[in-house]
Amino acid sequence: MRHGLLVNGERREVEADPDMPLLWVLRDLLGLVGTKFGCGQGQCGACTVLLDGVATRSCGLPLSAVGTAAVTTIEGLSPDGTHPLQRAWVEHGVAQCGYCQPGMIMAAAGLLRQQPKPDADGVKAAITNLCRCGSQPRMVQAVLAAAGGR
Amino acid sequence: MATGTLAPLGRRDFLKVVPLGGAALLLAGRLPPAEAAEAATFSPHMSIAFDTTGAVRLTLRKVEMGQGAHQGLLTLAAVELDLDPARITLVQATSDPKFGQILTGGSYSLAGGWMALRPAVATARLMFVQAAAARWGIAAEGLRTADGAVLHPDGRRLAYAALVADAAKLPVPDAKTVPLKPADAFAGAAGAGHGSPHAAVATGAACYGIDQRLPGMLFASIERAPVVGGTVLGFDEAAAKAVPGVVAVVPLAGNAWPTLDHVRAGVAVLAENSWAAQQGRARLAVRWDDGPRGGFDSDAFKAAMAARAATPGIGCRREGDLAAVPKDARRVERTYAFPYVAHAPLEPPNALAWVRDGRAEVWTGTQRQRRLHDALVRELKLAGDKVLVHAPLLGGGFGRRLEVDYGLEAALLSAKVKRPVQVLWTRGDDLTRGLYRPASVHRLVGWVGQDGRVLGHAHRYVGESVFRQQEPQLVRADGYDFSMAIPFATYGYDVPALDFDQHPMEPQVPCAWWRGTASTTLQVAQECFMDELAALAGTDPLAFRLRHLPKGRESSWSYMEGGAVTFRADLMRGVLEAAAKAAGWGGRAGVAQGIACGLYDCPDTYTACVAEVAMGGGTPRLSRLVVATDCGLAVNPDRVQAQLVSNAVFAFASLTQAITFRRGRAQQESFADFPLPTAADLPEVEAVVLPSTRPPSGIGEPATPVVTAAILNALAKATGRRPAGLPLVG
Repeated sequence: MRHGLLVNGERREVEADPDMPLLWVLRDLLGLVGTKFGCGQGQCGACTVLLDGVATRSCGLPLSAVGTAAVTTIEGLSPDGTHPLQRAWVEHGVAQCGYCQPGMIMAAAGLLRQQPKPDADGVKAAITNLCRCGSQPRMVQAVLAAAGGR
Repeated sequence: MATGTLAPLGRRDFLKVVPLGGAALLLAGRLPPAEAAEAATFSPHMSIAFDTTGAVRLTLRKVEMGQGAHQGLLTLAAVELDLDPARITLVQATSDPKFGQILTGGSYSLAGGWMALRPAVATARLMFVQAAAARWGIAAEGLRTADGAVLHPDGRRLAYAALVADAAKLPVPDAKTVPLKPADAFAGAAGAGHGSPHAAVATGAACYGIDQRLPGMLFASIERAPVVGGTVLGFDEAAAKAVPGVVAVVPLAGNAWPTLDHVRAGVAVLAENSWAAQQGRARLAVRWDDGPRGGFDSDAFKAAMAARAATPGIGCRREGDLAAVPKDARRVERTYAFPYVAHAPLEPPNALAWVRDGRAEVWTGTQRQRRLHDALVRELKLAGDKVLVHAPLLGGGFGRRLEVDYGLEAALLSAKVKRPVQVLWTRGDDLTRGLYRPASVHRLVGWVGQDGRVLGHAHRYVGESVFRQQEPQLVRADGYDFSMAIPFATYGYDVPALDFDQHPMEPQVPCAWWRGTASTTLQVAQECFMDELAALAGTDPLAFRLRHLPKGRESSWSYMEGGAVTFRADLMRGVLEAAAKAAGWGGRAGVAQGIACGLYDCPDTYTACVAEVAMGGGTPRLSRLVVATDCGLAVNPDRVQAQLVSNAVFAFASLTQAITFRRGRAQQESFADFPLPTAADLPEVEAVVLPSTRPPSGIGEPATPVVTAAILNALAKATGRRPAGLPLVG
């Protein structure tokens, strides 16, 4: 079945099962591999993208439910990697292995759209993504720095 | 990578692959790119190559998995070369035999690089100086280098690029005779951040194993035997094939268990995308013969280990005479048990393989390119020079990627269907069909004299031997496993009589290295027990430890021929005092504190931790961790700091993690029952990195057991209940 999608500002068409989660559409059909697979059960958040600006875990979201919503992936967060979150991420050296980080950044982007000036507790409550390396403390610092820098 | 986005290179006789999403570093170092191949190159060692355009390639045998090895090694090379790190391109070593039996683990990358990589690159600098001296007709002695050039005393300079042809004609000096920079040249070295994948991570361009793509590739999902050693009786091929996108269903016989590089039996579904493969797999309805392990129960095994702990084991360290401990000494005995745990890297195991025309090529996040290479040669019956393993960035390792099972699976499937195949494990696969840190039981006895000093200490370690399964050639005839004795050798308290022994057990399930492995249970037991002894002596746990670490004392113990550990009490005192000072040891109202310390053989990292439990509100809550380390020279202090925090978070996570087995089956299938912490779950973590000019030691794993023990000691103080191991319940 053919589906039209709006991904990172571009109209894309895919031939796919309507039940296919958005994660696999992005990774395996559209070649946007910045969005990561971590658990497939909506627990870890590595697959987080923005759906009309709202942070959404894409591994459990069927293609048929995406509809006309604008999908933003890590590749589309900024044209050149200079989104305040991306800059803060590099400046704070948040990443260790880095694998979960696109999901963290997208979750943070969703948070800052809803709540431009969160405090540390607000960041911790909103960003429930999992990380095995222990990047969580620096993630909080980077989100606060990005929010303060606006 | 150091600068721009680079595509990985293939060997000339292997396929060229350009992964989607960009590459984080060059994946193969066999040949320079075509354009550079035309230019003259100077490469006095396989690690480093210069060309006349100014390009510099540094080939790293260590992989990057978040520990910062690439950045650290790049810093070492840049300082030694007097070269801006931004001008150096990193190349990841493949399994090419010229690189030897490469392995990234044991927290050894920087210590190893300090010994081997520095002389290798310093040789190049020395030869540029010699080439410049010859060009100028002056003596080489006393010529300086800076910013990628040799400087003439009169102010002239010759860039390395201009000296490539001359230097390449000179005889390569013996690396042992090459002068090296002093340690203080590395402190605060410029260019921090280069060599890290940070910028690529933040844009999604960082390229992991899972992101590798080849034209015509298939995506595979494998239903594996739930019980190790189990075999396939039957399955519904037609149902799987009915899923649109499914291309093939391929049974995998696996290999016998236990065996080296074990691959479980299973049934693979290969499809045009990952989702279709997983959907097809869900319809397989595989029927299994569980085989002889179908009755395995981890609780029963724990009871068997506890029983074994009552009998003497193989001696690991005996000093003094326990029989000489006076009869009036007070005695305490404790038993601690630890569960199986999984690695659970956020990037699940995966590999892309293409086997064709008598050749095999694999792209996979691995800590051990060469072990996979050798396993491919063995399992596919190929010649060694027809196999190549590329190692992109790893989405976490923690020891899981020292195993080669997933790489073998991909290659076996590709050989069968004659197309490139990517195998991707689900999270459930990772938790239930993986390899585990062994479970263990520790029985400790101690005697405290009237003066409050420990007079004797016995520690018996009962646990599965990873070596027995993975490196049988390293197991002594009587079963002694030195990996299970190293945390005994690192013990450094001044106690007159010690008796440490081990019962290395046959692995009951696939066992693997796990970020410190033996130390993550043994040192935890050691340091929890130290608090028991302090309580028996009626002494503050910090003062008690310091009392058993006399100033100036050095001791050493050899756990195998050529494997001795030296313990310096002053360095342990330093980290204990630093952690205590930063935390404000002595406490505040409503806060219970616990302390622990440890030495890790990588070769000698000392860490101490103070954990704080807030008592307010009825339920004790871990509120703060202060971790201090002396890991020798901190080449990139920011990365050392990040790794200390990483150790602490890993330790915190382990408090509630356990894999249990019933009827041979792992019971934990998702992050819901094998939890990882969110930011909100974590206590505050403060990391203190002590300045040092000792050669760099490791930081990837040393602090994990220390933090765990400090937390358990703080919880014991808060609740009055002594720890009995992990996981914590209730």
